[in-house]
Formats: sequence, C-alpha cells, structure tokens
Amino acid sequence: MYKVKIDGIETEVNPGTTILDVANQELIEIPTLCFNENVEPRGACRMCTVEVEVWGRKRLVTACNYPIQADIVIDTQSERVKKLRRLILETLLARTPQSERIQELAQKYGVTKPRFNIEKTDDKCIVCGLCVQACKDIVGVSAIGLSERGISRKPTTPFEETSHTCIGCGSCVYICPTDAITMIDKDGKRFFPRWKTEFKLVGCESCGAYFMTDAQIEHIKKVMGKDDPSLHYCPNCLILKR
Amino acid sequence: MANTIKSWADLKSLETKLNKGKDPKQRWIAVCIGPGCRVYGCLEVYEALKQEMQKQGVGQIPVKGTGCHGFCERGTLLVIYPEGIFYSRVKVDDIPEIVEQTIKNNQIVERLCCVDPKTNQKIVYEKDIPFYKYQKKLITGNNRKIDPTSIEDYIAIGGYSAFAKSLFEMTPDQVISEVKTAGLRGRGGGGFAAARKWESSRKAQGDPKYIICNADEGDPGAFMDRSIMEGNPHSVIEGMLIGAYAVGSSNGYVYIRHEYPLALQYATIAINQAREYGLLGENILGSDFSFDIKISRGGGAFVAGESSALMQSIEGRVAEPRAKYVHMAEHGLYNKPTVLNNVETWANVPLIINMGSKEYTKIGTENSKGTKIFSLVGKINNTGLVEVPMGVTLRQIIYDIGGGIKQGKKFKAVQTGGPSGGVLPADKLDLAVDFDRLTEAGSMMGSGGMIVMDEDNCMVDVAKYFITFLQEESCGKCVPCREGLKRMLEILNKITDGKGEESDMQTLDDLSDLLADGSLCGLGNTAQNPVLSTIKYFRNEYEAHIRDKKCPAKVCKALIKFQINKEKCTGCNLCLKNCPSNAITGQPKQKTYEIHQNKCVKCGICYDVCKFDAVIKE
Repeated sequence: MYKVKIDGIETEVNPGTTILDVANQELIEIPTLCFNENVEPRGACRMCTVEVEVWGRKRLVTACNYPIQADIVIDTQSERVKKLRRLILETLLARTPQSERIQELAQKYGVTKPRFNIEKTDDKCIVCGLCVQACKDIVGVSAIGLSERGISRKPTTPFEETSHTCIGCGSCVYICPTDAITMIDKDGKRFFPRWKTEFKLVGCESCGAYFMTDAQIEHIKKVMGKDDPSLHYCPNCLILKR
Repeated sequence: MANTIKSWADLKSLETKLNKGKDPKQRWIAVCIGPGCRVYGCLEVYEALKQEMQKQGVGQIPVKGTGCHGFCERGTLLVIYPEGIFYSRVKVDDIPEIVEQTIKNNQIVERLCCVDPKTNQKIVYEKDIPFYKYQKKLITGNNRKIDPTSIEDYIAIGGYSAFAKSLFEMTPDQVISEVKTAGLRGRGGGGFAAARKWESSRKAQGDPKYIICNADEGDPGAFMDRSIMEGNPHSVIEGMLIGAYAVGSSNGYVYIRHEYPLALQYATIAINQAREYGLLGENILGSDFSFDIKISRGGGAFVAGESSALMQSIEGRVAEPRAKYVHMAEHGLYNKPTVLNNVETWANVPLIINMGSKEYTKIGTENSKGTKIFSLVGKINNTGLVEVPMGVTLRQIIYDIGGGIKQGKKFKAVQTGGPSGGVLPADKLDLAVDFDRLTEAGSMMGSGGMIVMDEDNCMVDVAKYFITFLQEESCGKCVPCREGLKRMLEILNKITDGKGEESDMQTLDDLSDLLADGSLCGLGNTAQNPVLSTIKYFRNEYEAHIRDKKCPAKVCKALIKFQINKEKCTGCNLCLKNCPSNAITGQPKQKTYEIHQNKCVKCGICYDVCKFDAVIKE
C-alpha cells in the first residue's frame, strides 16, 4: 500500500492503482475526454493531466494511465494544471468549434474565444482514438484505424473506402466523447456517413422493430459458434420471452 | 563453419595472425567512400586508383575504401599512409599524377593539399590539418583504418577484445559498474545514464530481455550514427554484445532508418560476418552466453526514433509513442525488459571496457564524459563530422575546427540538438559544450546536430523552419503536440507575413507551456525550444517583424522589396533576362530599369545575378 494525498485528502492505495481511480474514489473530479473504462487508457487528450510530487520531484502526469508506484502527493487543481487544461481546450475549441462537449468544457474552465484561426468545420472529432480502440478491443473487428499523422491524423476506414469488416454495431458512435460519429437508422437501413458504410437492419421476430444489422448477427453467430434467441428478438421482447 | 572462433584464445590468435608480417612502415592508401564523399564521386576515384596502380605496376600496395573521415567539405579524401599524406577534392583526373608522383616517387602533389586559412601555407599531413588537429576521434577514428565490410579488419585492430574481456574476466555486474563509473550518458538526445537503464533491466523480471540499437537518426543535417554504421558497424555490434552480456539478454534488434540503405547493407554484412565467425549466435566463444541480432527497418517517420514509438514499430505497429511511467527497461519491447541506446552510445561501450573507466573519465567534463560527435553544417567553412571531448567550447568547434564562417561573414547563432534544440547567440560561443551546459542555455545536446548561421539568417524564419518540420513529423496522437504546433506555426507565419501583433508573443509563450507540460513524448515536450530560444536571444528580431514590419536579416519575403539603384545600374539587362515573373522592365544600356512590385515574387534572382550591386534588397 502506498500513501496518497490528493487535493489534501489522505488515503492509501494498492500498487498500480491509477490516479484517476483514486480521484474517483475520493469524489474528486478530473476532466477526461479520451478515457473510457472499457479500453486501455491512451493518454491522448491530456485533459486529465495533474501535478504530482513523487520521490521528491514535481511533474505533470496524466491521471488516466499513471500507475501509483510510490507514496505520492497529487494536486488536481494547481496553477500549471489549470493553465494546461485551458490551453488544451483553447486549441480544441479552435479545431472543433461545433462540438457541444468541447464548448461545455471550455466554458467550465474559463476559455471563451480561442486566439487562433477557428476552423470552418462542423466536424466534432478531436482524434482521441476511442472509436478505433472500441472497434478493435471491444468489438474485435478493427474496421477503422487512425491514418496519416500530425494535424492530418484521423480515424477512418482502410484507404477511406467502405470497410468490409465493419458490422455496423455502432460502438464507435456510443463511445465517441464528442458525438462526432453519426449513425442514421432509416427505412430498414443503417448508415454511417463518416465511414461511408450502409447496412441492412433486421427486425425483431416478435414485434418487428429493427434492432440489429445483418452483419452484426452474422458476426455474433461466428463468435459464439451457434445461433441464439438474442439474435432473433429485440432486447425488450427477449425479456418478455424469458 | 570454417571461420568460427571457438574461444578467446582463438580470437587472440586470429588477431595475431592478421597482424603478422604487417610492417608499420608499409604503405597503404585509404579513400573515403562515406556518404559525403559519394556526392563528389569518390567511388569512381576509388576504382580509378586501383586500376591506375595496377597499370603503373604498384598494384600490390593495399587500397581501402573506408567509411567517413569527417572532412566532408573537402571530399573526395585520399590519404596515403604511413606518412598520412592528405589529399582532398581528389578527382579521377588527379589519380595518374598521385600514383606517379606520390605513391611511386614520394613527391607531394601540392595542389591537392589543404591550405591553412591562417598562414596560407599548404598542409601536407593529415595530423597537421586544423580540422583534425583539435579533434579527439575515439569513436570515428577507426573509420579511416578499416574496410567496414571486413570483420577481419576490425579484429586486426583489436576488435571484439573488449567483449571477450567482459565475457571472460568480468561479471555482468562488473560490466555495469564499469559503464556506470565511466559516466556514459545516452548520445541519442536525452543524455540518460546508460548504466542505470542496464541495471534496471538486469534486475527486472521477464524473459527474454531485449537489447536495441536505435539507428533511426532523423534530425535534419545529422549523420553521426550513419557514419558509424557505414564506417565501423562492428564497433556497434560489439557494444551491443557487451550490453547483452551485462543485462542478460539473448535477443537484439538494430532499428535502421529506411533512408540509410548503405548503413542497412553494411549492418547486414557485419551481422552475417559476426555470425559466421561465431561472435553472434549460440555459445559465443565457447561460453554459455548466446546472443543474436535482427535488423528492423524504420518506417520513415521522425517520431519512430522515440524509444516507445520505435518499439511499437518493431512490433509491426504504427510508430506512436506511449506513456513511459513504467520504464522501458522493465516493460519495453513486447512488454519485456528492454535496453535501448543509440548507435554512438553502443560504440562507446567497447572503448570504455578497453580503456577502463578511469582513463575514460579523464575525457570530458564533470557530468559529461567521453567525446561527442557533431555534424557541423550550415554557414561554416569546414562542414563535416567532428568528434571532440565534451567540454570544448562552441568557439573551438566553429572557429578552430570549422574554420569560421563562410565568406568572412559575421557569426549570428548556432543551432544545436536537432529540431527540438535551440539556437545560441555569439555571447554563448565560449560555452563549454556538454549535456548540462547546453540545456541550461536553453538548447540541448540532442543527437549532435550543429547548424551554424550567419547575419543573413532571420531567427523568426529559423524558428518557423523547425516548427514546420516538427509539425509535419508529429504523430498526431496527443492534443498539445498536434494542435499546439499547428497554432505555433500559424502565429509564426503571421509574424513573418507582417501581420504579427504584440499579443502574439504571449500566445507563443503560452503555446510553449502547452507543448512542454502537456505533450506525451519527448518530441512534443521539447518542440518549443526553437521558438523559446530565438525569443530569448533574438527578441529584437521578433519585435522588428511585429512592430516595424521589417525583417532585419532581409529574409521574410512579405517584409522585403527589391529595387534598382539607377546610379549603379549599367543597363546590362541580366536581371530582366533572369526574372521569372517578368517584373523588370528597361532598355539595354540605359538607366531605365525598374522592378514592378506588383509582379515581383521576391525570388531574389535579380539580386544574385547583378554584377554591379545595383539591385538593392530592403
């Protein structure tokens, strides 16, 4: 067990516990964008940066993936931290001015108008990579990846063409912190404009409501190695059936 | 295999055999066929020399095509030993005369000798040339003695004896302790103590353990590691063997950038030879120590030189850095304990074992031991690779070795440490060059790039150049580096376009904090250095751009204009003929020439071609 002092609160944790875990336990809010507990933290957005003092040395680290390996003093509100958060949000606001999530965080941390050229775009993507991680690590199909580098880096399908491994599950949509990916279910079809992909929706055998794509059903069958009632009925009817 | 060396005694007897009957007075000739000299056609010179010697009946005298000698400015270099007669700028046409005069008759071909810039005297011998005289070539010195494709050449000069000594006379802990006492710091950029990495990796749990040589040198203008890989690859392999023995590793990788085909070829040859001679593989030299090296080719990104990104690249993924809160020495390649050092660092290891840490620590400063190789480029007379003991001053490097500034212009600044380094002005010329002094002054050692600038360089433009490079090379994973560099470049462009505002200085300062404090890896953490150091030492230039809308060095196109001084103009018509945008009008032989600003693209060709200084840049 290591001794932790976070924003003045003292506690003890097991080795390897992350700073974000401790903060959550102690109900201390650390802003995050690219963190999702279901995938390995990448530390890409840097919003969760906090100032720590460990082995007598002060430094800034990201709370999401910093494993506590010694007694530590954590300051989630130091001047350096606050300034860094504002600067991150200022650059993100200039990049994705239409993102409600970024607007909300910017307002919360006192960023009004970025000092930079504001992009004329309605794209809300901050290139955090969560969609790519979800697709690879949760769904297991790797239909999308991050391509190019630097300022041009973006999540996309291979060669920006229709991906043949995408099953249209929509995990990327649900996990996106800035609602940058849209999924349109219409007329028995599901469409992802960003991925230029379209799927046929399958209706519930009981109530007829569309609940899954055909590719999704095929994928799950393959993974499970068998057919299953959950692939024929929508979640609501499935509960009634059981 | 026939050549396998099965014991230390075998190695020693091979060394003796290779040197047997070698007369130190025996004549032999070295032709530099390193990357710099290749541009001058050294391969043709090398072939022509061998043929001419046959023709003139002296074909029995050995000729070696060697790695880089360092003095790239004067290539092709040809040195005649044992005297060390040094010929530079040698062309194929000079060969018959060299063979006839010098090789056969001991006469000096004076026109091929260097001239001492101070005394204007011809210098005949290599050792007397100022460029070499002030250097201490411990790592690169052997380049000119050996053929890099011959393991026997390396063994003949005592190669692999440091490894054998470590293996049979020292315990792994003693090796680590020796390297620690020697104070070896990583030559790749960070200057981290090599032995500390080795020690943590040795203690770390995990099998296998990996040893990596980072040969992904990507700084613009830098070719230190390349010259070692292409000049003396076995010294790197030997260093890695010693490291592997110390750490307890049996697997090694050399990560070579794809843009270095010759380094790749020579490393491949060297590794295959080492295997053939039993110096890589199972039970090396009859011991129970086994180690082998694989080559991994770089993916062509600057960021792939960052240790965690490099390991991802070896694993077959996109070179993207990751958090290093748990050190690579414990969880590195394939999540196993890994020691990564760069080429120059590995090449220092055999030297330390051979010299002993006591002798090694006599070279250098208190906390920076040994020598450092710099690639000296820019507005300097003697461009090339220089190796100096840590602690020499910038002035010694630039003036004594580098021969001062080109065309007698005034020194303005020197940029050290690659794109993430900083610029240092004239009043820092007496700074002793070592890891800590450079960092204190706002720059860094980096991997050893040194770009010299004169009065014609605009410092805002210089900062813009490096930020452009870094912005293009940022991997784009983390927000501060990806977005911060874009915005930094946006502001620098605004300033050089004459649209800068006073508040831009504060914004640049804030963005520097964003990069330094927020970025995930070393590329972003240091990317603000070109901007911060130019502001620190050349603030007045930024202010001139912002307040007066003037570029003092007359570089930034938006802030300068070209005009014709009618007094000086002779009407030769040369400017008009060369202008690519038809912006000049005038009648030949009359003083009617004029540059029309609305058409002028400010390329500066008129300024360069005018023989009468009649084109004014202001």
